[in-house]
Amino acid sequence: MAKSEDAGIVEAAVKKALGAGATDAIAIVNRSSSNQVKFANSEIATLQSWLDTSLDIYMVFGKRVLSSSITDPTRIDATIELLRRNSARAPENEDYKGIAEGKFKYRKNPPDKKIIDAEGKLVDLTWKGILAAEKAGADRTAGTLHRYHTWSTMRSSRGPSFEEEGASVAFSIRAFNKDGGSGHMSGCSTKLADFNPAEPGKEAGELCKLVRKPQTGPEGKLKVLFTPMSAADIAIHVVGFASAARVESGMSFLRDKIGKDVGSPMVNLYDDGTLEDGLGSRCADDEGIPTQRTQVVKEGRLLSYLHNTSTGAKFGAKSTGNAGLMFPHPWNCVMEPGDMKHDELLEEMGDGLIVTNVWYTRFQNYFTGDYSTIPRDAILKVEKGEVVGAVKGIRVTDNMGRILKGVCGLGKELRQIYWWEIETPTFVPHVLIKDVGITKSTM
Amino acid sequence: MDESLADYAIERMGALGASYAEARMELSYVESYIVRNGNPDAADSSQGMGIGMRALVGGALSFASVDTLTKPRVKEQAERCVRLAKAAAKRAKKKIRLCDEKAHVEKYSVFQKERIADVPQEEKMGLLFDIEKAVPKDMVVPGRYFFLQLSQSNKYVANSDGSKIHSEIPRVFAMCVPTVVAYDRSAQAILYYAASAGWEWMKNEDVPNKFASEVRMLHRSLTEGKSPPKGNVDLIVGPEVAGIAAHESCGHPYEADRILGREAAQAGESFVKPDMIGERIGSKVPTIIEDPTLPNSYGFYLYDDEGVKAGPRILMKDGVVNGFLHNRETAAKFKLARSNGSARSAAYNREPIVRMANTYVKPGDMKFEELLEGVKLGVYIKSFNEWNIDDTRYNQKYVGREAYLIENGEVKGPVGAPIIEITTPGFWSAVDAVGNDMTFAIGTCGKGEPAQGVPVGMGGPHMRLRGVRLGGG
Repeated sequence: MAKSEDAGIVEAAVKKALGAGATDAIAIVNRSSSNQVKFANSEIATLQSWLDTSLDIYMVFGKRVLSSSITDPTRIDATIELLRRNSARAPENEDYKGIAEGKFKYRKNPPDKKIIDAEGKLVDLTWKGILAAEKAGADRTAGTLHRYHTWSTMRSSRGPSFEEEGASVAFSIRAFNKDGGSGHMSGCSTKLADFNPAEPGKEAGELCKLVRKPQTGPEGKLKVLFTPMSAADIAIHVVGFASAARVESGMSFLRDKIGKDVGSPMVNLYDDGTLEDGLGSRCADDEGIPTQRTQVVKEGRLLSYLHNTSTGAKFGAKSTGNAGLMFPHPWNCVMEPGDMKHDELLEEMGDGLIVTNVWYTRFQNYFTGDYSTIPRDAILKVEKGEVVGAVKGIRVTDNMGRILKGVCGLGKELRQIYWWEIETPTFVPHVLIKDVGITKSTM
Repeated sequence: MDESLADYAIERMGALGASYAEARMELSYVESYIVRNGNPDAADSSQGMGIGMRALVGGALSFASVDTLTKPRVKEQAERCVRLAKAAAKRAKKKIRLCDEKAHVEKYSVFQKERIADVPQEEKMGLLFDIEKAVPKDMVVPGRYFFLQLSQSNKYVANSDGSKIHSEIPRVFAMCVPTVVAYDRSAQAILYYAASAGWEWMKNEDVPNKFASEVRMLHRSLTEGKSPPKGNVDLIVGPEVAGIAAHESCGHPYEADRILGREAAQAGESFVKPDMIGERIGSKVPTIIEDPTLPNSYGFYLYDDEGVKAGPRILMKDGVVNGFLHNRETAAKFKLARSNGSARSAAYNREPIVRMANTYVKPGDMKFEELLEGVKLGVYIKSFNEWNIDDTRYNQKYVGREAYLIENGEVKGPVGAPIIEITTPGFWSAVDAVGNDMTFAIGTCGKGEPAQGVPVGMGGPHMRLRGVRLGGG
């Protein structure tokens, strides 16, 4: 089976699904060829390659909804027969309101051929990043460089159909020094010409150089400047929690808040599947609706959830082009930048902390938004607008709604963040937040 | 499964110069069902099959996977795998070596009294509707998310040492997320019920009644819960809390690849250093064991994904660092004769890395009532919701879900969301007694890049901790 055969596979799958009695059917073949250089202690830990295929099929019998994903498209007949048999006993989904109908025009965003052909260059690119980090002050580094080449072919029984090819590269590097300091930065692109691993390498190295023998940090309510690596964690949780499926399940603090203030008037948040340089951009969602820019929060007010056709109908809204086969989800999260320079943000902060990365965000209650997350890598102490040292061992313990309402400054530059902790590409500026709850272990 | 394709990949990589070659063929079948607020979502039945292979060439390691299982495609990836290792070898300053291991030819499976594939779909989906029916009628539960996943993995692990191991492991998994509201406040739980077993295990688990009890507990906590006492108090933690602490602050930091820095940019490193074997971390009471071979455990396996026979490993003995979790690469780096069988991969298209399976605190001989005796003022934290730990596994936090005040050795009324925020030595040094009971909870442990979520068990007895600073409420 090859990519050239995919149009025939999805057309046959939809035809067979209708022949089996389905009233609606969607078939999508996703293929990918990807590579990774994984490095640790400034040495290659492993080089990896994946050739992946999946045929996803979605069949609806009246209001009975069934799906399957298989890696071997030649098993399509058996899969359709299995879903047909299962449909006879499946319960009806009262919330099923159909899938997108008609023909749509899709944006063209052809992949960069240089990325597709870059497999042999990945080790050299990785080394550029490692050397830049070491030159900037790192004693050792760890991270990954990924190359992705994907293509999707989709057909729906209701008309939509698309074929799309994409390519991207992403680099993540963590730099360490011998005095317990570390810095982490990521960089990614859909164009090889715009991709320079030396930049995040240098930034990670510079960050780690700022941290020498960090002291255990303070507790209390503090002003915190979140750099894009850590601010992305806020944006991804707010935009991700706007998925109508999460809202309905009680797994979102945004439930029942449409039209209400959920953040400071400075906060504007979007999902945007159309960004040319967004690693998560797609021409269409899994129903075949063209992706769009959907404003989730406008000047602090919750404007919209993310919908597919069925959740849109249930919530009295239209699809926002965010359908996954099962649930709506974001493509690229975006927090709109402000107009403040880095120095101005520090001046506005006065005393506080700069948090350059976080991990392990967990919620005590999705419904209320109570959560905590752990700053890692460089945590810098700021007094009177100047960095005066580094701290360690602290935790952000707060509420996501309160965090949004505490936003009091936004940097003017937007940065795309995509790494192990931020799995949905996220565009964010520096974000200054007041009264952030900081706690720490005491024994 | 046509295992000859995996054997062919090993032959091909060997012919091209691999000093070690390995191929893992896996057929996985997964059924998923969701009922959300009483309404069913799509019922999914998916199947994946592919081969993941590794080659060691010139002291460098590579991984490649393919799911189009034709001889030309397998050949292409086997050749790419060797090519990648050769490219890595050109940059290698230190050569990767794998420890020697015995070759095993073995076949094993988990017995299913009621095979997952044979159970009618309506019975499986019916379980989720039974949970929906069990929601107490006198309580407001506006969010009800129920998920059932039934899977079976048939795996063939082979390598150039001569190992050829077939396994069949079914897993049953249910998750319930109730949101309970009372007096304009809400409480939530994420509840898991899972094992390596057939459908009979899930039927015997009586999930609807257990779920209903949790909902009643959340409601009681909301309506009757008091603030926990502040400052230093004694704690009794339930097996669920003992298990998560064993997993997060003992299992993870004792993973040898993490200690050596291989996961530094992802899941992080460890406060434990290679020379800390024999160093005291806790009091003389806690012993923590890792054992993949526990029958029907969620993290069950008998041979790891490098073909190494698995068995129990003692990580912490009487509060002292006793041993680490190893694969063949880390065992060689630590100059050990053998791996202890900790290499796991989440699927055929993921490299095997050092993982936990089932981590638990060894039970002692005290009854629950004996643990309570002598606690003048304390809190019994039976279960938890929110938790996290830093990426060296030193600073951790557990927030209680079900918790009660203890006064003069007696369990009193509920307290709301007590918080333990403590270092790893602080936690294990505070343990002064462990109970004679034993219960496992389950989880999906994350590590590796691309992400590899693997099923794990976490458990232990009730434990008593003295003088812990408590927050929250």
